[in-house]
Amino acid sequence: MFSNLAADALFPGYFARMNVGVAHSEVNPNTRVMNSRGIWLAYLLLTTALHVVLLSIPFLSVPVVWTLTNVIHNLVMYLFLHTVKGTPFETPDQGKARLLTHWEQMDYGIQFTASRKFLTISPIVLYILASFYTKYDTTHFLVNTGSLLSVLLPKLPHMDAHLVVKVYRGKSVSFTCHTPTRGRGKPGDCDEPIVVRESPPTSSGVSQLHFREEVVGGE
Amino acid sequence: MTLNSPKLLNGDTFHRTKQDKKAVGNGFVKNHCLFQQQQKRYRLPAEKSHHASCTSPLYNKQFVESFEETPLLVAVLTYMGYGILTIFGYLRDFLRDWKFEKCHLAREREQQKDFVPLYQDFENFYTRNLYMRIRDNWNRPICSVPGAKMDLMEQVTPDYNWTFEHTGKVLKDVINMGSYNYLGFAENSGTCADAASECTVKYGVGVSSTRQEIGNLDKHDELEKLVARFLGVESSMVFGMGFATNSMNIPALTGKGCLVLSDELNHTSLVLGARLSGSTIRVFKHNNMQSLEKLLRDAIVHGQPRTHRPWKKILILVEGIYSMEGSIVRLPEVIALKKKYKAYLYLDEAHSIGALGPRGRGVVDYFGLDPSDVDIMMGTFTKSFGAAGGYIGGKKELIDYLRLHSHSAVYATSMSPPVTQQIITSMKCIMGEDGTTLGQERLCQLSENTTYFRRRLNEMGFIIYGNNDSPVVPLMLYMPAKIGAFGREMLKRNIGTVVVGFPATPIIESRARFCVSAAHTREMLDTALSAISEVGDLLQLKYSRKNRPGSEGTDCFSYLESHQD
Repeated sequence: MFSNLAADALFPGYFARMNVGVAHSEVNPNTRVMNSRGIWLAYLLLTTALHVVLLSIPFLSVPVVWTLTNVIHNLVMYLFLHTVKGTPFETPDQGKARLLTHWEQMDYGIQFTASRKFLTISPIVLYILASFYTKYDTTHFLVNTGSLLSVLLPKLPHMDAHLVVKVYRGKSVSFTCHTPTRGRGKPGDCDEPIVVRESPPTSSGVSQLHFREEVVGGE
Repeated sequence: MTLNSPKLLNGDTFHRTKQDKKAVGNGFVKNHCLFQQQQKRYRLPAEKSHHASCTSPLYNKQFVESFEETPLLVAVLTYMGYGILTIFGYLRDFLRDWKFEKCHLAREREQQKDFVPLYQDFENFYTRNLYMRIRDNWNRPICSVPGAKMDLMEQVTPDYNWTFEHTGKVLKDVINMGSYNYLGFAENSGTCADAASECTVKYGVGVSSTRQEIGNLDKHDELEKLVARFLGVESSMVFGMGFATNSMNIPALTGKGCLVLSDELNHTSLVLGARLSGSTIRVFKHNNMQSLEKLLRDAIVHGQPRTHRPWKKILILVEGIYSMEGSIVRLPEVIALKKKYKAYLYLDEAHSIGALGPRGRGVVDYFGLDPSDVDIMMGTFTKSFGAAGGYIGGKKELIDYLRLHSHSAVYATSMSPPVTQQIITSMKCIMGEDGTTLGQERLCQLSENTTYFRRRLNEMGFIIYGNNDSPVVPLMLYMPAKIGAFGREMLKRNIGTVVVGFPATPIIESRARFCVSAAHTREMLDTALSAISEVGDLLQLKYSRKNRPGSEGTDCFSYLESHQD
């Protein structure tokens, strides 16, 4: 509802067309947020705080609290990492990141970086702890497993929208998994981190790829 | 070739690999590198700062830069701060949506609600929920010359920074710690101002043409010869605008099939110029010579991306002083790399010309190097000369080429005459050719002020980034609320400062940036320092753990930090 154009007239000079008002050449700062100092610790502390707050509610038993922690943690993670698309600030990449969730934006789409591994493992650890504390009760197990799957499946590399968007451009695309980088997965030197080799169009078109249900706009 | 700094830990120290037997990693290829990655030594818990002190023979003086790491507790609190602000942002958006709160933003008309949406509201989330709340720290109207002291128009806001009104009152004699006035030439009296007014009387203010058509004044020629003499190069060319110098000339120098290696923290004008040129851009880590060398080697070995043909040219873009970090480029090493790998060097001395070096000739003079080693020396007249515009200096063939092919020369209006005269007068003053020692005094005053200011801030316990000799002093604030609080508290104490936050800087590294000037007297600096100390105590900004005896390793987070990597 609030456009770049109209707002440019209201607040001239601030809105970014070309890295304006920015002191680095990083196109999308969202990609580096999960690698910054102390954010893993902040995330762990927040989860612990959530758990402690839930524990202090008197009428909930310990298994229920653990399941609730697991479910709320996974819900919030799904919301922030896999639902919200784009960036809360303007970027000079001409809208490339507008259709990407934060998970897909992380490290410019490079898979298996340290942050991605951390954020994949932490719901699993929480699930194991929750299963232990709920004494493997069936109802709790079903709820926890469902919740874990809902937060693990979007993290699979197959679901990456970088590839999905190319699919809808009408070309048949086969992809290679980008070579995993060691360390904190800084994109480093390349300006095109995603390697997508295009094969000549076949009749089956896009049969080899998974794609999401929602319609990707004609970008 | 030994390091004489035993406290150096993970820092950027350089060995000449021919004498160095401590080759790490695999293969013999690394032995041919000029600057080899040092082995990671065990980090002692007490020292957590990135302290780079280099005494290899390339440098003829100590090169001390420090970028102390963010304390972990502060980082966690900063994220919590942003989290709380985000939650409140969503709440306010909800209230605005449901009309509980007045909406000051542009919205579509009711009739157009069913059309394709005209506005992207998520991209402006940060602007309307975070920036708007502390917007009064920026765009403050100045109503006097921005010298060491300035006058500000007082502005009040009835609706929390959505609109401003001027009360009519003028805040007089606010100490100016934000203007790029390194040598104090931003003044409205004195020889420069007199000469500029005479020039206005003679030539007028506007030129009304481009350089190539009929806008080439004799003043421009005089200035270009003077700039060439000042820098020690064969020839130079001046442009009306500093930003346009970069963005219009880099496309004339490189094109498709060329490679541009640009520093991570390069200015927008350099980034824009590189993008407009159409060359491939690769970014190396800030001031990191191993990263640059690796990029150079990869580029030369592998060539262009798909065809593997050799690059037509490789251009390294660096700046003299990086204004957001206060760091100085490692020019001797860059030149060594450039010579070894036969690349070209473009040095943007926007902040360092006039501000560094014993004779004020910039970063080349500061390191005592030969100006002909730098292929293209670019700079601006905005900072140290109190004027506007930029220049490019280099070999005569290069400058002649630029006179014909630069977009700025062909299409942009040339520099205004009084501005040209201001630069001529101030440059002669710095060179000492006006018969006085004023220039030399200003240079000494700037260097003294810089050293004093940095030393005092370090002693007070603030975290300061950058090189000890750089007049740009970033003071770390970290937390988003402190950005607004610092700016406002300093203004209450009659000191004008510039504060910067995300997304201009990395998310946890918001800062206040001071620019020391030769026009600042010792009393002004003392006033400013006592105010900064007061505000620092009020806002708890004294994060530094280096100079505090007995404060290291006492809380649990420092234990975590010491075992972090």
